[in-house]
Amino acid sequence: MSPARLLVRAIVVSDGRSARLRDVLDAIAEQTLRPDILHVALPEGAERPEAPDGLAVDWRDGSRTYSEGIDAVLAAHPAHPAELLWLLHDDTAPLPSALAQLVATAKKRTAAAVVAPAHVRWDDVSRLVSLGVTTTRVGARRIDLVDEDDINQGQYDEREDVLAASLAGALVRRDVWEELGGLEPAYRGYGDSLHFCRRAWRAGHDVVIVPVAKVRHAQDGLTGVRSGSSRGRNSSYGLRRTGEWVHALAWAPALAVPFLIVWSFLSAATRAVLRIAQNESRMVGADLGVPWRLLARLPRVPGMRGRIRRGSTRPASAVAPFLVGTRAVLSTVRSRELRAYDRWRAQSAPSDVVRGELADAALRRRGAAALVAVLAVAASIALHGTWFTALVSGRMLTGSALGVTDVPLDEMWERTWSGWSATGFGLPALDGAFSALLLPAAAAPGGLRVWVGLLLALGVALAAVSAWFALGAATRSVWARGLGALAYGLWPLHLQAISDGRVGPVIAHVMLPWFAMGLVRAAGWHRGEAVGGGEEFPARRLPSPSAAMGAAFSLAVIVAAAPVLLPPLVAVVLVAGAFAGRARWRVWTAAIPALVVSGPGLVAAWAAGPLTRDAWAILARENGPALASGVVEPWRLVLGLTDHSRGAPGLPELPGTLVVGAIGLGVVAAVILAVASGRAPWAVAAGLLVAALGVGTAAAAQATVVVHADGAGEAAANGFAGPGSTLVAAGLIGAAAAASSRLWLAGEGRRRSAIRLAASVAVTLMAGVLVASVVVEAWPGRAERGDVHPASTEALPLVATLEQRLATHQRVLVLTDTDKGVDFTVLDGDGTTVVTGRAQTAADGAPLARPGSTPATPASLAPTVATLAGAASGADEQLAAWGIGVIVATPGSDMIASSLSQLPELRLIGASDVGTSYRVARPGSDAIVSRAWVEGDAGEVTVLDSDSWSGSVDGAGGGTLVIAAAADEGWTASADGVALSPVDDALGRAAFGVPAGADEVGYRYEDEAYRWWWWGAVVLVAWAMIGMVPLHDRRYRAVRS
Amino acid sequence: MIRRLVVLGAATVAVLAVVAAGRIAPQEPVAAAPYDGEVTPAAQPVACPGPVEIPVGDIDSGDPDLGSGSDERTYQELGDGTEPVGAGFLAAGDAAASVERIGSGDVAGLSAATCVAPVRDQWLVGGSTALGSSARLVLTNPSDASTEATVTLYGGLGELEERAVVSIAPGGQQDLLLESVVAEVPALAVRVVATGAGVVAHLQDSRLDGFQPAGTDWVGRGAAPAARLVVPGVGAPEDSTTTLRLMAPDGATVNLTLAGDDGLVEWGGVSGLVLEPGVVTEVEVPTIASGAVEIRADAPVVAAAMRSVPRPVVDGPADAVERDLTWLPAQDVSDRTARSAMVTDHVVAVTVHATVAGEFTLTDASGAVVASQQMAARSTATIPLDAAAGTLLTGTARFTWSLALEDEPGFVSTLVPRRTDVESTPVTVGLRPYLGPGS
Repeated sequence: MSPARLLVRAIVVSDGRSARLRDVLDAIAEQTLRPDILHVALPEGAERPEAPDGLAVDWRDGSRTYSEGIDAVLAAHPAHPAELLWLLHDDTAPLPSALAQLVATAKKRTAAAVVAPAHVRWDDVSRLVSLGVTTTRVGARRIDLVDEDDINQGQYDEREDVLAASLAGALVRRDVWEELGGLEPAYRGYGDSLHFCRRAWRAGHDVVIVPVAKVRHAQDGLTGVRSGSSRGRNSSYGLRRTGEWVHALAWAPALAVPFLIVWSFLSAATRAVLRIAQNESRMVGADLGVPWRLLARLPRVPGMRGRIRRGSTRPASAVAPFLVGTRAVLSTVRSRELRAYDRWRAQSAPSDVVRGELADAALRRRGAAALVAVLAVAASIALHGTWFTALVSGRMLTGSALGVTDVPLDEMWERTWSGWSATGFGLPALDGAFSALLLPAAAAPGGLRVWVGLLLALGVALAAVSAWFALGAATRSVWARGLGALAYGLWPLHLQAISDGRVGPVIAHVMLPWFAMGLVRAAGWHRGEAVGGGEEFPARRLPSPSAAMGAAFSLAVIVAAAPVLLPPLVAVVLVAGAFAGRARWRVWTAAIPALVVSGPGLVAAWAAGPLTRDAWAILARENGPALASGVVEPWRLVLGLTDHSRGAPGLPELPGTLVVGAIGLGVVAAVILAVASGRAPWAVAAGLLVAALGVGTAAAAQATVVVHADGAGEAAANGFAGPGSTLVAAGLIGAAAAASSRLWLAGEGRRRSAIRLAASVAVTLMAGVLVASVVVEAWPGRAERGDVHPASTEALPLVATLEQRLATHQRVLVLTDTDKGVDFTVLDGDGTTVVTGRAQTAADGAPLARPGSTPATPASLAPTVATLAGAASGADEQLAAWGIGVIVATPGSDMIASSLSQLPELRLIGASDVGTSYRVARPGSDAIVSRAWVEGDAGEVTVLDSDSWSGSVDGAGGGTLVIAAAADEGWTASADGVALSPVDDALGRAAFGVPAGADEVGYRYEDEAYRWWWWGAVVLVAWAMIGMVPLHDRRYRAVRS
Repeated sequence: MIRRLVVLGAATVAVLAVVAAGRIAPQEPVAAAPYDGEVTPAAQPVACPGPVEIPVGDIDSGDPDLGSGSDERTYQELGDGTEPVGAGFLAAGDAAASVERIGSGDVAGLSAATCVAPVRDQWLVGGSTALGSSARLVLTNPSDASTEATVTLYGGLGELEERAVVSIAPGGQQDLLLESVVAEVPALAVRVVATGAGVVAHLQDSRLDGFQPAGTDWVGRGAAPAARLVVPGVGAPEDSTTTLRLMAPDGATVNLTLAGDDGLVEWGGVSGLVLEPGVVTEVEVPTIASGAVEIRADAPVVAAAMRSVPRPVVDGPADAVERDLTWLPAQDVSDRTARSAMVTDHVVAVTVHATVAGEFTLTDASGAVVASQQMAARSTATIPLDAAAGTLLTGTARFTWSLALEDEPGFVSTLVPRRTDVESTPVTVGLRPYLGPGS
């Protein structure tokens, strides 16, 4: 078919929402070869722009979609032989010679069904937008054959046959258009060109690109201009991505379709995670929506496949050479990343001089960082060197506040997952943040024993290194950073927290610098590297979304470890956000994970009456190890002192305080200098305000009783001043460091010399103070600050811990002789465990999760223990009722051991140097003592297999299901799938009536509110963790149509 | 300028925060109160030590005057459901006793022992390890579990460093010669602390004066340390001597008074007696026909009296005397519980002390009144008693009394009644975390 004269019917379809229609018409009018007929399809009622002079326009009221507009025109005008359709959008303006060149090619390439032009940018015709597209063999990824914004230097002019090209501005043979049935509606406008072209190839036609023919394309639909979206290309991402998957489904072998659908879900999930890492949170929904959109379009796929099958004359292998493989995809992705990197580098490329200075600074910085790390580790070893050897030799750290630290992973997991605290007879927990926080440590090789041990032993070093990195945002002076970092690491209240085994405040002290750094970088307030005569590099620091996520994650960790810091730090985030300008939302989001992690506490505080002391006690609660401590004056808190620091060895009150508080005094002196100097005023003011918040928090915390006796052996304690004092340290040291920035270059002439001399003296003094402090703290004769010490991991005899681990999950009663009687505790694990986190009770003993309730606690066993102490019979009934199967008399407790020996109902099962163990038998039954059992009406007992919060058994029979744990509304039980109703139990245990003949009986603890908060916290913290990965935020390459 | 103000403003806020923070009133953490309970141990059988042993062994020299042993030994065990334990016996009833008469040899005399139930902590005031004296501690464990007894000794110089720890098997008996623990202590007080259900302790005090026996008797369990004690039955013939032995574990100032049948008797120089902690002090008691020593102290003390009765030597040097002795443990007057004792052979009288005026009666198991006497406050009485051996006597509460035993030719002994109720002991139960051995 080579008619001398081709008929070109130009069709411009507009949805009436583009302002460029007039320009398009002008461009058509300026064509060297005008189309023979021009139709413009507009929606009904749309405003018609004035047609250019001399251009005959056939106005048509069509439908809104592109495809329908064309169909309406074609329906009204019968086909001519050799008719070509020139399909134009209302945002595609052909350059004057475009049509002539397209027609020339169409004449030459008689087999071509589609002759497409190159797309160039609307505003810059030298930049390419599209020059043909292809797809992968699977078809679910569209590959552009040119890079967007590539400069057109004629390098692609040789290109002819392509798999596909955008139909916008292309000439399409009308007979082929009608043969193929026009555009495929399932694509909703994105990907239909590719589909059409691919079908054309299969139907025996060619698709040709004409690189010299250029069409300006504004991509209004793609960039969201049409829909009025402010999100640019992202607004059409979901539709584009769905189009790609529809293409894959349409062209893949039939058997592969189900796999592709599954794959689409996996791909969406992976991309969603990547989106979070890129901090494109709004795109997460778009990506996650893609497979669902795909499912919605699934009904159209069989029809598409049928049309492809019927219309194809060439085999599928005919287009195979056009499709690209994995390697090409990878190289496309890589070149995209490299281009983005190149652009970034080109924008911020330093000069060679600056580059040299940066290299010098980096060398200095790395050397100083290494030195600080070495010194901090040396200080840790000097203070607690014996802990390292103990940890290596398999022992654990323990202490009256810390409890045992060799807690197995499953115990940590059960605590955080179930929301049931197994301490004592169990209590509903307010939150599971603390055990979740330590869960990774329990899961890591070595377990909680090693990692909690290292956290405490290296507490000084970790805090110093954290502070080193954070102080880099305040000053680039390695001296100020180093001294500030060591002062922060050796802060006396931090040392106290380490020696007391207060894991939470130690974690908070280590994490606070990271939070501060994240917040400062999120707002773009950090310092650049000092270069030249006082400039910074880069000159303008950009706010970092990843840093905001890092701050969010750090804050979540901090409030899980030390909830008392939530109010002051949220206040800091709010104020910082208010000053952060355009980054304010990023900064404010840093508080969200922490607020959700603390959600249950906030709700409980609100319920306790906001702005009351009770509410404050809940906000200031301590999740982990806690200990009563002496209340000290606020000025001591500013110096980081505790009541333990009232004297150094051989020194009376005031000189002793001065020696121990020397670091604090040095820091305060530095801040006074900073205020007087007037340098870095905003940073200094912010630091002072943070310190003021810290003093208030510390004083309010220590004045409040935050841990109440819970009836399971825990002593009441007031709040620890440490977390507040951490804020003081961070604020003061940060302020001093910020003011020291570029001090070396301050002033001129003699003044500069004087400043440098004074700075050198101050640095030397502070270094001396730090060294002296370590020496004073590590002085051999000095009393230990706390009672953390290494101990064997075996707290209970093996026979006792084995019984705890079996499916019967027995409790162990531990008895110790005292001068006046006996002490006891009821254990669920190998020793008193605090690091799983406290259930949190109010002053009246009610759990905060269940205000007003009065759960049974081990305190109710005191008379039973007295009975045992008197060697009187009858104790076994109470003990078995609470699932206590083993009694252990601790080493040296001969009085109680001999009392137990006299009781015929107890059986000696072992004596070792960790205690003497006796087995408790269940009175009136042969069944072993257990955590839960079904008691038949005739007294027969069926034991359930249990863990700390759930259990089940087959073949139970009817009667009463008794769970040897405090009754709570969270307990649910079922028999053969039917929920059981609770019955009252005289002892306050959870009990359920089991119908006769029941077979499968199970129970579990379910707290819906806890579960919601738990998942909310997990999702947000995971989000923050992925988001804080510093991936560069690069725009996804658009798929254009 | 604004920058300057910002910094100064922030500094002011910081200083104000420090000042304001000092005004927050601190709350005190409330410690959970420990549980104070009373435990009533299961009733345990009473136990007696058995016959006395001759400290040097039964040496037969061929001459009955020179031999340590004796051919005239009568030993009587009285009690319900007795069964042997070691050399001694257990009895199931409320009271049981043993009495032994040895006519000659080193341990000649009457030795009576009241059987008692095991306790964890008991004091025996009496005994001596001076030259010629032997103190044999007999520990009997009537319970079904083994027990470990720690024996602490107190002498004239206070608590002694030497201690002994004795394990006693269930239903077993162990002897401990105190002279093997510490010798040359003329005045002893013994504390026995045992584990489990406790132990029954008796101390055989045997003395020789050269070749002549100076007396043998069982030292029974005295009252636990208390501020008010009474030692009844200190009355004795003219030539006998009575010595009161006192010890205050934590030191005390003691006032002693002597009560006779007609009220208080003059006893000079014993008011405001200061007892150093742990130091055993002996005080001579004036000779009186019938009387009791009242002890009032400002801190807990333990006490007992020893009565030593001389008799002419039958066959020996003209100026030599033989003696017999009896130990009278102090009794607590404040508990106001009735006490019971088992009558044995040789019981001749009951010696009573009344703290308040009233009628004292002794009844037997059937409730029949065996003896009765109207008494004035702070007076004593010696009531002759004629009851068959094996009679269980119960005295009126609030009176302290003991049974006096006598036999020719000057043998004496004493049976002290015991409380028959099961005493409950206070125990403090606390909840405390446990972190492992040594934590």
